Amino acid sequence: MSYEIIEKLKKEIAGFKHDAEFEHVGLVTEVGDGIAKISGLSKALSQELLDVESHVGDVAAIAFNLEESFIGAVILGDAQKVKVGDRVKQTGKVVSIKAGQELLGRVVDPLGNPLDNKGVIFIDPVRSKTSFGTSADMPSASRTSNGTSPENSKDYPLERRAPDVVSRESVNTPLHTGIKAVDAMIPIGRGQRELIIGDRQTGKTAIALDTIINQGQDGGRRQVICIYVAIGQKNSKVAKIVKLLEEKDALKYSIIVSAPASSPASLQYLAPFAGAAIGEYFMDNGQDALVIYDDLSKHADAYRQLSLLLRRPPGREAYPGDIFYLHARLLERSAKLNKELGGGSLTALPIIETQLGDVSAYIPTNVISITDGQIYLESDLFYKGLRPAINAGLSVSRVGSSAQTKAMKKVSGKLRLDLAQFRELQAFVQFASDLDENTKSQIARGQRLTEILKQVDNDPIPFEKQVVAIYMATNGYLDDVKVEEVQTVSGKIIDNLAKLHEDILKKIRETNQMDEETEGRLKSSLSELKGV
Amino acid sequence: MRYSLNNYVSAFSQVAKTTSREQVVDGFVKLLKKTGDIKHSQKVIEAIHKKIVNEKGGKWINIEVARGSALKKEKLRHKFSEKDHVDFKINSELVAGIRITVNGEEELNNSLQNKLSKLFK
Repeated sequence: MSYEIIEKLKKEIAGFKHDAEFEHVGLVTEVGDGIAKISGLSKALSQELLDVESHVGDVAAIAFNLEESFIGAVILGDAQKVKVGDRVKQTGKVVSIKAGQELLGRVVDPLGNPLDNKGVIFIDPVRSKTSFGTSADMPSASRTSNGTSPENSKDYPLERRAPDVVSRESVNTPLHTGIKAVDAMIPIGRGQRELIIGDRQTGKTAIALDTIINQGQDGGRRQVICIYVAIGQKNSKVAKIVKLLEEKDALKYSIIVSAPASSPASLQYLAPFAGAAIGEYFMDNGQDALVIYDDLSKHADAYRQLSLLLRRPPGREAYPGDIFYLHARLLERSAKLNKELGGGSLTALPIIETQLGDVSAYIPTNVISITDGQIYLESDLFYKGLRPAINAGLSVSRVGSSAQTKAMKKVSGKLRLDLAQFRELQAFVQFASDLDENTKSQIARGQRLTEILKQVDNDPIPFEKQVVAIYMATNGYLDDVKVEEVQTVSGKIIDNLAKLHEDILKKIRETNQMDEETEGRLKSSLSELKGV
Repeated sequence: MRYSLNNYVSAFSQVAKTTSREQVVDGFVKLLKKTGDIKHSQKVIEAIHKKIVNEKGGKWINIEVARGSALKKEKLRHKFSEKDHVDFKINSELVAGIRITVNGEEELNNSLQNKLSKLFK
């Protein structure tokens, strides 16, 4: 075997041809904090990938600031290796990531390098054919983790123009999160951008993870490919997420892009763009993708750090002037493409962490204005035990209702209004002792509605079961049940319904509707089951 | 540096057009002392030199070879125009061969080091 390898290496060396030709070069004149100042390279492009030839090998960098006599570049690799006097070469390429089906189930960094010890992601087709014959002869490290062919994989630039108006169509397919409160009151459509905003420890990531897990059980629609982008998160948190997705069998249709807190600001800055590029690959192939940016507050911080080190002028809260454009161009890449372009979609769930519920800070207001709605989570509700701690009054979905299924629309129509009235009455009741029967029943209904919307983490509910649960609460089937028993009783009824009248749930799931006949059968089944 | 190289070079070349050579040099050295950039005088002088060469239509050429014995200065010098400034340097990192850099921006690298690094990329 070693003889064969030596022979192949000899052939490679003998066949090596090198024609010296003029190349554009520059010199590192200053370096520090992951930023290099480079003289020369007057023809470098903005965002071009540069190759710094350090004494221990090449280090990648991106041309950020193109000034009159030098370039401000952000070092992507180990900045400690770069020294003053190192030569820098243009590559003629912009930063890109290789995207393909092989990425499914993998954890990668923003440059596409695997972080999960599962081996090489893409086989080099040239290497596999010329140097090592067929793929069967290949060393195990050169095979893809799932054994798929790399032929369909493609390099996708991290920065790419968003689809134009003509390429798009309105959001028309629901993306079910498996969370009753969201799917009923703040519906999300495929291709939408829905912000998840709230203080720390209010369940923002939990909503995103539930959404990923739910994609495995949302039948009747195309499988959604989920991309979770962790920006500036703890490695332990990312590891927990990977484990959870594995346990819930959701990793097979998910990809995790991780730029943890320990990674340089440059990688944290690139991470969401890498996630968007991977999502675009699936969208362009006519598939539906969901990308979660967790979180854009840390992304803005990383960009602020880079900008300040590059000596760009600071603006409000020391963020650079183009921070709005940064997030706008990222989120604008989410789209629902028209049928001529394959009908794929890229849905975005950006996450923003607020400080003490202050949504009027710079970054939260920016992202609120860019997105098509927000799910607002409150600490107070969380500590009251209302989980998910969604503030139904401040949460909106501007376009999702057109994608909501008819069945859900029918049952949840009154829900939002009833809850709003309940909250108003609840505040009023604190000062009043005598209440008329009508008010009392409204309060009782509101309490049960609030209770039915409570849900535990990592247990998304299929859409048809959500429809039944909300139907029960809004139509008085739970009015005589004690508030603290609403969850248990409704759970039991739905379980029995699934066992004894599976056809009703199946019909709702398959038709997405609740016609009169189904409603009639549901009514009689619920009455029967409640008696049991 | 207190002021950028470009600013020093531009100021020098503009004053040099209207003032005598001795006065410009004298004044410039005093300025560098005043700004505390006298320790970077070598860099500044080289930048001014480059500017003068470029203004006259010449190029700033750097030639590096791996070993001194391989350096045929006169032969190489004649390959370039009279207006060009040619610097020679021995750089053992190249292993063998030659590397020519024009105006610090364009490079013709025919060194063994470059060939080896390309072979193993």
